[in-house]
Amino acid sequence: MAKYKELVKNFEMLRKYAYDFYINGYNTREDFTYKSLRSYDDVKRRVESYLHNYSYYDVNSSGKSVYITIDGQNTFYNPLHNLFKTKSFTKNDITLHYILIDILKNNKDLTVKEIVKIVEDDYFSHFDNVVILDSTTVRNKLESYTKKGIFGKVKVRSEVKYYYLEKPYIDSYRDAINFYTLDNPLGVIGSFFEYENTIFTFKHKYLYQCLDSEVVYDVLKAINEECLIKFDYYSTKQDKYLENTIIPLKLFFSVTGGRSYVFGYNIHRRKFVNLRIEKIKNTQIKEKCVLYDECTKESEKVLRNMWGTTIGTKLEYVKLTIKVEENEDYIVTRLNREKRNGEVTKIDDNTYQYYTKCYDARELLPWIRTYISRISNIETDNNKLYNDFYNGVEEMVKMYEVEI
Amino acid sequence: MIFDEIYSRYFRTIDKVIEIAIVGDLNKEKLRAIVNQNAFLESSFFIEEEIDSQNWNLITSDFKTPIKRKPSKQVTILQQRFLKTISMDKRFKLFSDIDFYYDVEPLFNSDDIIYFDKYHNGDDYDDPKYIENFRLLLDITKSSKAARITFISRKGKETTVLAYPKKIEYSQKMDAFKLVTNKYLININSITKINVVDKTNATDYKPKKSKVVVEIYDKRKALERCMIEFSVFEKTTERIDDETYRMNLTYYSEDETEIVIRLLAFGPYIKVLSPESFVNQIKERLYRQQTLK
Repeated sequence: MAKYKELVKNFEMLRKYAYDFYINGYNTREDFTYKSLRSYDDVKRRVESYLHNYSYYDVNSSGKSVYITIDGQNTFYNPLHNLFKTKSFTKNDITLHYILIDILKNNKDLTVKEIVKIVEDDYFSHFDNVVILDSTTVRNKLESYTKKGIFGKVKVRSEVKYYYLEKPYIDSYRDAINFYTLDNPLGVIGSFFEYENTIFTFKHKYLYQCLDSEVVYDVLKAINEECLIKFDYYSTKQDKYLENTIIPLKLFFSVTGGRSYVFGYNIHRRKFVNLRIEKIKNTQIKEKCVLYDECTKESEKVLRNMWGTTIGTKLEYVKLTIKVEENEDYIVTRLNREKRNGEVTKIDDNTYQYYTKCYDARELLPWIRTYISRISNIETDNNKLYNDFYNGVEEMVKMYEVEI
Repeated sequence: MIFDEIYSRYFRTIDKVIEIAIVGDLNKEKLRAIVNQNAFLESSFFIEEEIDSQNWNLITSDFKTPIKRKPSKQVTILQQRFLKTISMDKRFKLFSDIDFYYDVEPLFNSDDIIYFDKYHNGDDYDDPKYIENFRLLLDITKSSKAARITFISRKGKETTVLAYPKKIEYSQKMDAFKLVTNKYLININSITKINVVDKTNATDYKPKKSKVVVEIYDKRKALERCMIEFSVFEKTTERIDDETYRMNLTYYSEDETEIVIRLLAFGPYIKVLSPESFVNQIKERLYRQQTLK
């Protein structure tokens, strides 16, 4: 049986479990069926180590469940960023990280051969248990760190020489880094600067979205490079992952509901789609797409008619009539701020009307319900929306035993 | 790739271990203290084992190191691209006028991302007065000073208060910043004047918290939507049966109306069980809605 290790080789399993512990938090050990119980025990132990101030147990009628909970409004950092600082490494990875940086900080322009000699003479000589260093291993590490921007390399008379890239630390950007670490969709990269934030907090920041950072990074890369992207997408209907290839065009984030999407064109199904980011894994950026510009142009029409994230073929209208009292200007302000692609018209001092035309008017239903107590009329060509709203209110009146 | 050992908490911990070893101050107790302070809960066991066995060839048996220079933080290309990206954001000018000097491409452009339910007309980040106020408030907050702040209240009245800024809160939904003081929440875009005052106040801003218990019926994906939407709050959830779940939610009392509205959005697929005062708010809104029929 493999020995338990605190760090992990790849992120996907951690992502899946952390998502469940944080978003749901009600599943017991037996509910996690995608891997073995031993896997659950290991991942749970790791998550508890990484997030020990935020993970708890609950014991109830269903059994024992692990959950992560964070006061998102009062936190100066995103604890879930810790999960990105857990990658496992080999002995050579850590040894060469420190030694190569130290050597190249003290010496300029060295070949691999020169570096190996210094490693053996000046560093390994302090230890009894060293393994003979393979120059290929050293070269690979130097190349890897050159790609990461830590070292530079230059060719001098057909010899490749490496040097340390001195970079001033960006202290003048500290406040900005602290802010954007929480704000930006790839804010986890800001957390790698390891600055302490004691100033900025966020109201209703969806911390869990950072778990999808690798997917978001690849999608944004594909968008920038105008490439196709292939990935596995979880189908709830079939309860399995299915391969998808799309032309990615935009990312959609909800700041009220927390969900996030990739908007793009599915080349096999020949239509625009909005796919949930947390259901995507194993992203692969493919070749440049010759149809990218044409696709972008077509998508503008679609985006104009989307109220939220639903894409359709025909447009439906909604006319919502809202009643306000004399001292309720804030309701009108709210309506204007939330109108999206709609319009707000004043009918009289106590009546305002919201009008929009979009794909699938039923998408407005949760938002319309937030105005319960003020809705004097809903007019729409989507009967389901109309019926769902009014039947829903009737059901709630019964549920709460409201006496009319 | 973002998931990389170079950003590992273990590496950051060993940075500090080597720093102490270079000046000859490292011993077993200090090693353990550094690891406990900088790594994860169980890291002490794993890191000490590697160092004791000299497997990493960085720390000798007598806690010395062949590393000559104190490890410094690297700024990788990925991090440089992050800085480039944020420097192109419209709010960046609130923080700095300094030109960004790394020659890299940003990770993305701002129009690659759509926050589709963000409010219209957020704060004006191009307004020089707003930028000036923001930077001054940032300085005051960082240095724990006080200020006499004049602002236009919600009722349109000019008000001046003595405030002890504690933090700055941003709402992605409203695209607006608020100054959080020991007593007040002030929209930064409403501030007209700031005078720094030579006083300090150690009292923290401690808003009152309340709880609500909600039953969720797993129909029309209500459970999934609810779990995600309320993940920003402290909550616990229990499965009652295959279709019924119970959520205990903790929120800030000053946000109660917002929570009422957000729960109403779920229609008949959730039911507030307690406290009674919260249930009554839901009932009142339903009553008023039915009288409008």
